[in-house]
This record gives sequence, C-alpha cells and structure tokens, in this order.
Amino acid sequence: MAPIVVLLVLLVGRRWSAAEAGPVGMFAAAGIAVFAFRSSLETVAVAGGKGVWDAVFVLYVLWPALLLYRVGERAGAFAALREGIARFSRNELFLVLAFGWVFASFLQATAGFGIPIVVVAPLLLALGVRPLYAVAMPLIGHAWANMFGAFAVGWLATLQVVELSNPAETAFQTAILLWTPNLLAGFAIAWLYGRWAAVRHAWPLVLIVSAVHGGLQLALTLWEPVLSTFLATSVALVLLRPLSRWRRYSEPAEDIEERPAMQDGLDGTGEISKEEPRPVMGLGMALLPYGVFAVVTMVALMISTAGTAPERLGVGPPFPEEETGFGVVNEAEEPYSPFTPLTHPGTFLLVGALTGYVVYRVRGYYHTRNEREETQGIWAGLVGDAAPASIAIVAFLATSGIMKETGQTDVLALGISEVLPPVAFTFLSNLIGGLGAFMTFGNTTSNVLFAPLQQTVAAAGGLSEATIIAAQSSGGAVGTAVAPANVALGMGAVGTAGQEGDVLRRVLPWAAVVALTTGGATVLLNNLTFL
Amino acid sequence: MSKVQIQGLAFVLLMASLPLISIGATAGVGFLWGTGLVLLALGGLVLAIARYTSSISGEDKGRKAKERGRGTSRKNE
Repeated sequence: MAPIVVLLVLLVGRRWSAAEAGPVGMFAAAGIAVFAFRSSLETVAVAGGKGVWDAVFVLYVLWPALLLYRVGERAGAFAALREGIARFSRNELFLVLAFGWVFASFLQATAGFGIPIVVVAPLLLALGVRPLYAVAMPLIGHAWANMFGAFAVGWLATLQVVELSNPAETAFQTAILLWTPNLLAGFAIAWLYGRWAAVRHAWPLVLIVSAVHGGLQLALTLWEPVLSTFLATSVALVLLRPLSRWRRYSEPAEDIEERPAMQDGLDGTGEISKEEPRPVMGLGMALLPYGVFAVVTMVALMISTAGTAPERLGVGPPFPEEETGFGVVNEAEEPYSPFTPLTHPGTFLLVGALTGYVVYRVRGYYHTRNEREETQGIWAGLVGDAAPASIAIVAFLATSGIMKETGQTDVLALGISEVLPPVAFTFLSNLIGGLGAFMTFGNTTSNVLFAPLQQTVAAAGGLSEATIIAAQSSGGAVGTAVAPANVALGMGAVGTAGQEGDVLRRVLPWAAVVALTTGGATVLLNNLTFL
Repeated sequence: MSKVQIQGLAFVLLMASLPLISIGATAGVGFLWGTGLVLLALGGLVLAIARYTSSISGEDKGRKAKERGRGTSRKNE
C-alpha cells in the first residue's frame, strides 16, 4: 500500500506532476520489495525491466498519436475542423455540445493525453463560454472516451498488466459501463449551459449522439476494441452535419433564458469572432490523416485475421526466473511479451501521420500557415507533450511490475478482500479506478496500477473478473475528469490558473452521480456473462 | 538545461536500463544488470532532483499549456 500512498501524497498533497511523482512511487515499491518482501536486487531489477518493456507497447501508441495530432495542428487542420463544425448551426447550445462533448470525445479518441481539454477549452472560450465552464465542459465530455480512446492505449496497457481469461467479455462489459458517463455527460453539459430549459431543448440530440457514441462503441468492441471509440466518435462528428439541419438545432434556442455558462452580451447564435483568419484547408482535408489511419488499420486487421505473417514477426527481451524470499516465483520468459510492430496500432498511426505530413507539405499548408502565424515546430511540440507523459508511464509500469512480481499486489488485494464483503467491493470497485486516475491523471496509468489488484481481489472473492476490470476501467475514465493535473491543464489553456477548485465544484457532482450509477450497474453485471 | 532536455535525459536513462537488465540478468552478469538498475534509479531521480534545482516556474507551465491550446501566436498582434 505504501507506494500508492506515496503517490497519493505527492500528486494530491504536494501537487507534484505524474512524471515527478511516478519514479518516487517506483523507489517506494523497490524499497518495500527488498526490505519487507525479501526480494533480491536482481529480482527488483528484472521486475523493473519488465515494466519498462511493458511501457514500450503504450509509448508506441502515445508518440505516433501525438505526432498525428501535431502534424495536423501545425498545418491548421484543427482550425479547419473548428470552422467546419461552427458553420453548421446558429444554435449556441448545439455548438457547445458539438465542441464540449462530440469534438472533445473525438480528440480523446484520436490523441488523448490532455489534448481534448487544452484544445476544446479555448474553442469554447471563443464561442463565448465563461472560462470555468469552458474547462469543465470538455473535462466532463471527454472522460467516457478515455478507456478505448487514444487508440485504446488504456485497453492495450491493461492487457499488458493482467492476463484476462475472457478479454472480449471484459471489453464488452467495459463498453456497457462507459455508456453511462457518456449519456450523463451530454445532459450535464446541457445543464451547465442553460439549466433544465437547455436539457429539455437538448434531449433528442443527447440521446441520438449517445446512441452513436455508446452503442457503436459497444458493438465495435465485439470486432476490434482498438478502433471502437475512434469510429464511434468519428461517426458522431459526421452526424453533426445532418443534425445541424434540423430546425430545432439550426436556429437559436429562444426558450432558454438562463445561460449561466455564457458571458454577458451574447445573443445565443454562437457566432465565432470575425477576427479569426480563414482556415488553410477544408474539413475533408483536415480529416485525411485520420482517414488514412482508419483504412490502414482495417486492411492490417483483415490480413491479421487471415493468419498471415505479420502476427508472427514479434520481438521481446529475455528475462530469467526469479524468486523472492517468501517463495513468489516468476518463471523465465524468452522472449518476454513479444512486440509485433506490423500489427500494432502505433504503426498505423505513424502511416497516417506521415501521409498527412507529406500531403500537407505538398499542398503548401505549412508554408501558408507560417506566413500567417508563428507556430511551434512539430518535433518540439511532440517532445514537449510526450516526454513527461512517457516518463510517468514508464515509472508507473515499473512500479506496477515491481509490486506484482514481488507479491505486494497479491498481499494488498487479499487484505482488501478480507476487509470488504464481495458486494461492497463490487459496488466500490469503480472508485478504486477513479482514485487511480485522480492520482495519476490517466485512465491508462490507473489501470496499470490497479487492474492487477482488482483482478486478484475478484479471484479471491469469487467475483466476475470481466465485471471488476470493467468497473476499474470505467472508474478510471471518469476519474480523469476530476484529476487535478487535467483541471490545471485546462485552466492554463484559458489563462485563468488558480481557480481549479471552482472547476472541480462543477465537475464533481456529475462524477459522483456517475460513480453511484456505475457501482449499481457493476453489481448487476457481476452475475451476467454475455460472450 | 531546459525542462524538456531534463525530461529527455530522464526518459533516455529509463529506457537504456532495459537491455542492460535483460542481457545481464539472463547471462548472469551482475555488472550489467546492476548498471541497468542504477540507470533506472537515475532516470527516476533526475526529475525529482530537477524539481528543486530547476528555475522553471508554474507560470511558465501555464503559459506553455495556453500556447498548446491555442496552437499559435499571431505575428502581427
């Protein structure tokens, strides 16, 4: 428990970043392994090394995903996306939901790692949303997409740290639980915008979009969890066009009088500042790299399903057998957890990013944008985004590896299962995921830290492994909405740092309702098996 | 050193530990896995040490996040 307490104190109490606190948690885990769990330094080194290797799988999604984002951002693709969406409607509530929920979810599905917050918050500010609400809305709107978003980096990391007996069932139940925060996000953002009058105006839109987000994600997990959120959020983004032609959402909503989220003096038409320069490209060109990614992924999946060579081209480091003084044995593995680059989503992301870069360069978008504005270089932006997140991921995976391989996770899990009755643990399991995300500001890192523990408790208490891991994943997704680091990131993006507590007060009630609902759903799902 | 350079150094140290630990532990060469363990520890320590020695302030972090959010700053403003 001590490494988790150390992380909690440093991240929440001392407000260290995840990259700074993560390694300290790793040292705590190593110290406890040596002094309390009778592990040799070699055992600790091997466990740490396995953790670093596990991180490679995650980093190979993180870096290409951020490269894909940076390639488009520097060419002006996101400005084109924003203008493309904003042209659709004169209804302010429609635009707030389009940006704060639909577009934020799409960004989480494609980039993640805080990007939905720092991109959408300033866009909402440009629409006339007050700064505190401009941060709170994407925090709520993007959360559900965390688990299978960023091309399922959270899911892939979970598969690295726990050996699931039925991965398909786990993915399916996770998608069921994630539907609740999605649906409640739509209603919560409408409520924040204009209280109950806005909810009454928005409910058809919320139900339709949530059916696409939640329903399509659920269906797609049966086929390929890695693409489930990406495709669901892409379809919802495209769906905005026909929805914007519906008279209910094409004209200003005159029945909403109270609009606490909006700055004074706006007329409710959602007009964006006329000072903004014209985008350098159209909506279709802005989406090109993501389209290439989707096509390459589908082709690769078809080849993989046919059982041809790419799946077999795997590499992995060897590790010897290790045993602690308490008799915990980890068998030798050669190779340990082989990495198959030709079937890994990171490769498909790289293809999309490089194609986008070449096309944008040939068409002169970078040149045009450089003439207009000073922009941060692609590489500089990529390293600035990815380096701290990478350190945190390596440190958390090494911590998780050391705790798992030296028997600490088992002891902790057995202790929790003895204290809590199974039904209480089932109800509260999503809160453990939420705690992990609150501490580390990531669904991925929460699952890396706590999925092994949840799996062990589930086994000890006779609970459904798939349901408990699903609750952990859903809780981890919702926890990112209240993670202090994410809130601070958003506040920095709108230039009003220091009011993080005010944002949390707007987000916490939503998170509490979702946690209670998810707890109840987890208890119900525990006795069900779908696949 | 800039914050990004320090983060880059920490990341390289963490990743460099992997082959040394794997090869050293598998071949039974204590010096190799020991060096890997030291690199892993150093990679972790770099940021914690930099936290107390770096001159980068919270204000800079906020400005960076703001720039990321807006993506650009206009030349002629």
